[in-house]
Amino acid sequence: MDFGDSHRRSITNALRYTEETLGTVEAALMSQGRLNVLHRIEDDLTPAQKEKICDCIHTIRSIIASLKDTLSLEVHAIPLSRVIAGAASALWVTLTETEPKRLTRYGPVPEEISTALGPDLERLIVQVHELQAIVAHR
Amino acid sequence: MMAGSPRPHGLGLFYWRARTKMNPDQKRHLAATLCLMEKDLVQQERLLRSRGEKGVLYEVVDTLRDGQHQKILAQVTKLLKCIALVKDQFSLEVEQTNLQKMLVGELTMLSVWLQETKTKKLRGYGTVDEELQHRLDPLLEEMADQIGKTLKTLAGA
Repeated sequence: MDFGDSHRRSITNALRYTEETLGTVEAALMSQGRLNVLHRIEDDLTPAQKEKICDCIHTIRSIIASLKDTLSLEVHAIPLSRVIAGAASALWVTLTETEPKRLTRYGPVPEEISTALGPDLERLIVQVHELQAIVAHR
Repeated sequence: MMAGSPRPHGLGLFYWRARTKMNPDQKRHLAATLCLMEKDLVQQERLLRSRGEKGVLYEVVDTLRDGQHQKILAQVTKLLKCIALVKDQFSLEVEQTNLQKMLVGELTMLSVWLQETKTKKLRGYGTVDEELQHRLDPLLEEMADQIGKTLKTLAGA
């Protein structure tokens, strides 16, 4: 079916976002029992509820597939290396925003905290740089 | 162990527990940053282990060489260990949520997003072909119905 590029882009983005959100929901349903460091998700759903949710996800995916064919929407392929490199860059930005000198926006930072946190953040940043280097080394 | 003594596990982080406290906002910022970082790393780990991901409209293609996967996974593990150490050092709190609340949030956003994709909203990008309206809107409505059903299922939690 022939229609405008901006419409096509808008529909494709919305459906892609829908699919990615469904992926997040599915991953959350399946990741129970994982011990995370700073976030925990308490599983308060029954198996019957989970089954119904999975059925809905399946139905929505079929509708997206049908729309993809009807409207001739394109698949967006992205290399894993780019996903990881992008995430690493975002992590670097986030970490630098947490340096003790930046935390002063919330009030004075005690010297003792600066001395302890600064080197830890620096080490995390170094590890993120190493991650970027591994991905870049093809 | 004295403040500033090296911790005996090779990561080189210092074992030191904050006696002088950060103020609550500083602590919240640090915890939120590391929590986001952890969620990202868990996601990368999942993609690395599954060697990419294939959806209907998107595909994460595994373009890494064989050895790279293990190296990156090892790096992710190191970063997660660092996060755990900082959490202990500054006594950061764990973000607790329940699955029901989390899914309701994600799906409600999705429901709004789908409504915004209906053809009457697409008019902002130019005149909408009538055929597109007939083909797209009923299916978007069907998806919204499915999400509505899921939200009802979740309300029964």
